[in-house]
Amino acid sequence: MKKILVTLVSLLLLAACSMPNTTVRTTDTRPGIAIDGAPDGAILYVDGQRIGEANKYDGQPNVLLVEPGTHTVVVKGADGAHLFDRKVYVESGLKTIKVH
Amino acid sequence: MRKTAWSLFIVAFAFAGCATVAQKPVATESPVPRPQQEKAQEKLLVPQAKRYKLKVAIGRFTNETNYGRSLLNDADLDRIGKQASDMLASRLIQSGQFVVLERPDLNKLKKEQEIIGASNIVGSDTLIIGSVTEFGRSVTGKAGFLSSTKMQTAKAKVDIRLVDAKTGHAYFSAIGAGEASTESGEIAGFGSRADYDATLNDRAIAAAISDVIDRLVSKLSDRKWKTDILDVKGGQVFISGGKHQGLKEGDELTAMVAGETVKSKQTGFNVTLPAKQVATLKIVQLFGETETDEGAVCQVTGGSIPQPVSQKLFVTEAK
Repeated sequence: MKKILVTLVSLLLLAACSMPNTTVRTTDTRPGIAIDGAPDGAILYVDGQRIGEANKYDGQPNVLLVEPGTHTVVVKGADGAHLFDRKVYVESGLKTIKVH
Repeated sequence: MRKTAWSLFIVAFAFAGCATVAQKPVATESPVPRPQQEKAQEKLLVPQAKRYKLKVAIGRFTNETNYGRSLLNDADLDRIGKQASDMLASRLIQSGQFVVLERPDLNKLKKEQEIIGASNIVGSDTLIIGSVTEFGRSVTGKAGFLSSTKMQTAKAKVDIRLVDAKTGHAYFSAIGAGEASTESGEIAGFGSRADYDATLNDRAIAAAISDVIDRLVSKLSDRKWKTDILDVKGGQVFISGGKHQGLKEGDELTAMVAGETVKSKQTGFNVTLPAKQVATLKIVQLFGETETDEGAVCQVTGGSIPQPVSQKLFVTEAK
């Protein structure tokens, strides 16, 4: 009796394995930006918002997720000097911005 | 003990020669909340200095590569061209830096206008002409001790040029490049697998187009701001342009009369002789909601506007 029960449960489990699985979903295609070559202590600003240390988003492996469209990317040195100031357009995928 | 140490050393040495998959970038959310990011991005679209957007239309954007020419072509024998042209148009609009006018599907637009019974198709300043000039795929790989990696890469390049609609002068060009890749790897038969990934083609073209728009946005400088006089009524001067062009109440402007336009024998282009100032204006009120219907009401603070308003009159920033 016990054997039959075990077999039945095993068959049921196996049947669950073979069920096709269909998933439909929308995907987050926000682009990412990576800052390459920023000196230590440089701070990243996107559209005037302070994001943090630029080296944290150097693409190794971290990249910063942003909204699609045009952004102003500014990198300031530890002494406040502008190292990079440019309008960039991103849509999807990864854009690497070279500071030096 | 010594034998075990040797074995471990050899195994470690062998695996050091493994072919491994490159590290995948990790998407990190910004410390700034998304609504705040969106607001900051919107604020950026309102210019700090006076400027007006270039009115652009896509004249031609085709596929000039050998890729995709034999499969599912349309009547123009161009499938990727239309796809890329749509990508270019939507990204131009998304960038928020241009006024984009519809041209590829103008016939459909005209049919609709016949139904509505109204038509006001606006001409452009600049035609964008270009094509997908490079497209290709490659499969590369590395082999190591009991290990291998395979990388499928699609690369695309697009070339565009901006042509002055009046003179035909191609005054700016840009090249955009993009690539999309999928890498898989296995060690001793275990690991990831990836068969032919067809989406890489479209992603590479999309990346190349985004890159070319990035070049336009970053390199193409805004034009020197100037506008026209719509009407003069009871001491008030109505001009085109409002907050989307960076105008603010209290701004001081000058009304000028353009000089004669003479055709240069040297270049063949028309040259306009220096303009003469006729009045100074001050903005007292802005009106309109969008960048296509906005304007400003000005009062004359010095000089006078010659009547009737001639085509040669224009308004620019006070020096």
